[in-house]
Amino acid sequence: MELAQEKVPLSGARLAVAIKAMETAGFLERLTVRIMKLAAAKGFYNPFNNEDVDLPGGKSAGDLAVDIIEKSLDGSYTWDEKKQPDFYWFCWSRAESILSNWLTKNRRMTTMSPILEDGENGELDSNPINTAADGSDIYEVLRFRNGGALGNQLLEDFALSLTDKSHEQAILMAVHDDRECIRRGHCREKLAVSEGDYDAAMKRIQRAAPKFLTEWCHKNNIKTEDRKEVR
Amino acid sequence: MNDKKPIELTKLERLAALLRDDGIDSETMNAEQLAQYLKVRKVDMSNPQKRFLAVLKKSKARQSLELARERRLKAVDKSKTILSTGADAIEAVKEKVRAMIQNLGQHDPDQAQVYAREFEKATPEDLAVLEEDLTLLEMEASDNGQGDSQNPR
Repeated sequence: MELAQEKVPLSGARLAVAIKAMETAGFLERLTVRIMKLAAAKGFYNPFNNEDVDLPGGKSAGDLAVDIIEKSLDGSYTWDEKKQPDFYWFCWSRAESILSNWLTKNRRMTTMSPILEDGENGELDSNPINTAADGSDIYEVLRFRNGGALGNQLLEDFALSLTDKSHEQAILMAVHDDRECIRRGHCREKLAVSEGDYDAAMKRIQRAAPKFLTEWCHKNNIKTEDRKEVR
Repeated sequence: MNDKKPIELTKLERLAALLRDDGIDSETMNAEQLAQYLKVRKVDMSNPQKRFLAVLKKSKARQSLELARERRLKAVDKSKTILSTGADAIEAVKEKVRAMIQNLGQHDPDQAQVYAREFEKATPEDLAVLEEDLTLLEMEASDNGQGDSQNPR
């Protein structure tokens, strides 16, 4: 068995580099926004609630950013400045790893106890997100009911509800068929849609979504209380 | 950094991702735009901001302690050198420190008095520490002077 390494807080030149980075204007905000955008790209945010800005379990992206900074400074995360000379990007790499681990955890929902992940220093580390309590919103109901099949049907139904052969329908169908199409560049290229047309279609999709989602849940008799059944 | 294959999103998660995609690249935003971005999305940064400032303050305090320790070690080394080179060297350092205190007295008489008292009873080791401290003070004063002229805040 590998022995856990002792935590070594940053010192000397590495501490100076970290402090300098932290003192740059908007350091925390930049990391926070980037975490939010990655969380969005990983489908963490509830599409049924536009104002939902917390990560799963109720932790905010800002709090996660500070947790990471703190752990990087106190040696819980080992920063190898030869591999990654920029402190900001090192913190970001840890955020990426934490969010990816949450997705892994999400795929193993039958496990009810907190998952410990291997820290870089060999210690078992409680992931701040995967130790969070499970939510009980409609998004989660849809994600896990019948293994997520009903939730997956939603995307297709939404696409079919839109004007036939419109850009917005084409975008949704492309996302349905090809996971890479959630990246706008890839999607635009695949559909040969201009930036302006893509943006306009996305606005129409975002405008149409709330009404469609409410009606769709009503039609499929999806309620928050169904969460118990899902469990 | 992570060699693992990325986990595939479900179709529902893809929809969630698509609906939240605003096409904005946070790396091209300045501090003001980032703050505005968070404000518009009603992200409360007051607590993270407070925690972040505390972490930064603690890190800077640790850095200061490290520097102070380095200074002490350097001073001890220096005093050893002075002692080994004899009375003339000690006298030379004494002269230098006296001049530095006089110089300090021109813009900070109170602090100069404190150093003068220390100087009177200083051993050769203390002289090295005093010289180090006064050199740092001179450097700080010159840095502040430069900073003030560059930063009109």
